[in-house]
Amino acid sequence: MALKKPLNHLLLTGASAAIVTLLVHAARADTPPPPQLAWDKPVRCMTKPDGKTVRVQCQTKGSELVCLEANNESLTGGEIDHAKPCETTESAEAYKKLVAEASKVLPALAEAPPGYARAATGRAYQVKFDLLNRIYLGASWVPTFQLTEKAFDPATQFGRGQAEMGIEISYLSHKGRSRHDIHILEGTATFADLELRGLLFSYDYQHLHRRPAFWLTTFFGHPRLYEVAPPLGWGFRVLRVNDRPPAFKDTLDMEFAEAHVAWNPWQSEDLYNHLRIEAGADFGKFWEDRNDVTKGVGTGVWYAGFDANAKLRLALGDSGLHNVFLDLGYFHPVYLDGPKAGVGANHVTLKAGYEGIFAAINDQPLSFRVSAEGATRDDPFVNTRNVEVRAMAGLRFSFWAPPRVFEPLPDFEDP
Amino acid sequence: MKLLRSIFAAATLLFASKGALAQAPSPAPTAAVEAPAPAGGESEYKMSPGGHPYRVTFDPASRITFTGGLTALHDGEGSALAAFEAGFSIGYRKVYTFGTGEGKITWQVEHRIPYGTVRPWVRPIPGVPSFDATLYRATLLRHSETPSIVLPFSPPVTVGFPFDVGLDVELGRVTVPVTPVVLPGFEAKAPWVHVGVVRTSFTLDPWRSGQTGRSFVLGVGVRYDVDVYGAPSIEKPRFVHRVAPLTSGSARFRYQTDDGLLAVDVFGEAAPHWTSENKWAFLANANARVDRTLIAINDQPIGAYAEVGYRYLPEGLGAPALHDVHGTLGISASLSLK
Repeated sequence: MALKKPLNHLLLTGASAAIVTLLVHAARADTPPPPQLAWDKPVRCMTKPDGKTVRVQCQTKGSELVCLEANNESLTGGEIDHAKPCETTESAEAYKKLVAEASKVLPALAEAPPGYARAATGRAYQVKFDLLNRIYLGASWVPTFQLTEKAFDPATQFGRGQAEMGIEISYLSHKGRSRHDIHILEGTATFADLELRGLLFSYDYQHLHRRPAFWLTTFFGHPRLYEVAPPLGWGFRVLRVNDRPPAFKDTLDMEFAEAHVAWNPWQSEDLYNHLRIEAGADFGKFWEDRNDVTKGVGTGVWYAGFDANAKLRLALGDSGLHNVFLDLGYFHPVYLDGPKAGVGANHVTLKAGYEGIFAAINDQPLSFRVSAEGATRDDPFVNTRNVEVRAMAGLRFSFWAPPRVFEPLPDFEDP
Repeated sequence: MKLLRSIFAAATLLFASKGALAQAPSPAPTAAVEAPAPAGGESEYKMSPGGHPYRVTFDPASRITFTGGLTALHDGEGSALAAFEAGFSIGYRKVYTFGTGEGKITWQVEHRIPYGTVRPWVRPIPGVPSFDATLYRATLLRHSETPSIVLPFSPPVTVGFPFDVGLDVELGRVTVPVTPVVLPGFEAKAPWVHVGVVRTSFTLDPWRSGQTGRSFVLGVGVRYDVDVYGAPSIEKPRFVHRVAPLTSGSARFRYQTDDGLLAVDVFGEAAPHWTSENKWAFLANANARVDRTLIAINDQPIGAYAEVGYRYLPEGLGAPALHDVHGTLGISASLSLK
């Protein structure tokens, strides 16, 4: 009984809060949003007779002068943030004169930079996010299924979790009409039934050049000239580690370096979205028994091989709130020494997922991430092919993630 | 809807980029291109609708060429084998013209330094692939509008002479044949090398086309060859010297189209010769090749070629004579030197 009262109180309070929230939202939906100063027009800062400073933009509509007036201070005190510098700072006399001349002076919200909106309190808050630039931390639930006899304890299939972190940097070069993507220190740790994945550094280049890379003449019949500007790119990565990879829980795979060329058959105007096909080569070391690495990196067997990837990166809409990704990878390492020298193996991975931002704390986005993943690997050392399928649902908290801004690229890249 | 539009745009972009024919391209690249002055007259270049000049005629004898092809070879034991063959060639042809009208004389002087082919994965000598390489070859052809010879009588007598005249010189041709030989007294097959130290022919051209790259010459000349047999070992070889004292007869037909996109070269030679084994022997050589330029990237030609060749290499040191037959299909990429 003693517990029941506080519980009832809590439930009632929660229900009331929910109703109030719904009503507030309903009221908001009915009230038209106040006008807002435009970011791309000059702002005059004027002192009102009461000493307060306001931000003013005027425009002539027909024969009438209509002005918008926004507070220069937030409700919590201090100047509002993310505002343009004032073009002029004018006195109370000038404000009185303006009020006398204008047919209307309407209260408004201060301007907000691209990618931001402004609340009634005066605070600018981010509404568009560039998830290609961020430092992220995440946690997720990873139910995992293995389709071979090497499967781990079925009891742990639904009990796996994953922690992840990484740094992503993407630079859009307007002069080069190109984008440079960098990933640093990305990693995941999956448990219980440990699996570690890590990447030290990777770089990818893509471009949308308009100048032809070369001219092609054909001499079948009459000579004809073709301009060729292939949407090709390239990239490399350094040190990718997979400890206890899918379905092979005693092994360690350490790829030291990889380089590839890429073809982007489709890419958006800002190169944010793309479909990318990569083909390259890598080399590294493989430990059939992961404990051997404790005796030194000189243990294990060398491998070198071919790899190919198809990657889709798609942000739905222009806000960056909804993101879809698809990665299909094929790896064919050939072991260079040890008992399986000259023997190759096939690894295939597929990952499809969605990430949606549903909230932001101090403009740092919190996103929900869900994906499905499959992997199959050959292990020539034990003549086995194992398959693993996993799902993932979790949250990511991203830092930085600047506003996604659309500035048109110049017509042509610098020569 | 936006997604559908994006996907449609993606598909459009994909297909548009595939078929990006040089149709009125956007102005900036055109503005960035300064039309170079055509090197060999207006007909050497055409202008694209976008204003970009592009080359449509070439000199197939003046270029640095890399080739790669698949060759089928006679292995000397009644079977054929297929192998990859890579090639390299530097050639340069200069045409000199003197006088005008009936007194006009034209010299075509063509140099090739060096050129050859290698089959990297066919190794008759351990560590040494089969190859055929020539250090230098010069082909000269003199064309006169009114050809004549002057007999040194008193007074001198001028007689009509219905031939163009020329010279064909080849220095340092080294061949490592695919097939090793078994010399008498040895059980193991021994590698060998054929060295054409020098070959030169004085040539006459009854066709007298007067066109660059078109000739049919008959020649007679000398040649000196050395066969190097790796027996008992390639480090301690034995030699057979061969000299053809003006007993080498040859014929060569060459043709190229006006635009230089197609070139045909057929050569045959028969050379009775005296050997260091104090006997006469017979050596023969024939080769036919067709080159066709298919595309050009930034005005540098890329083409395909087909070649068939036959060499009869005579017996030496008791080793049997060798019929060396090959047929090759390949592609070539060139850097034009003119």
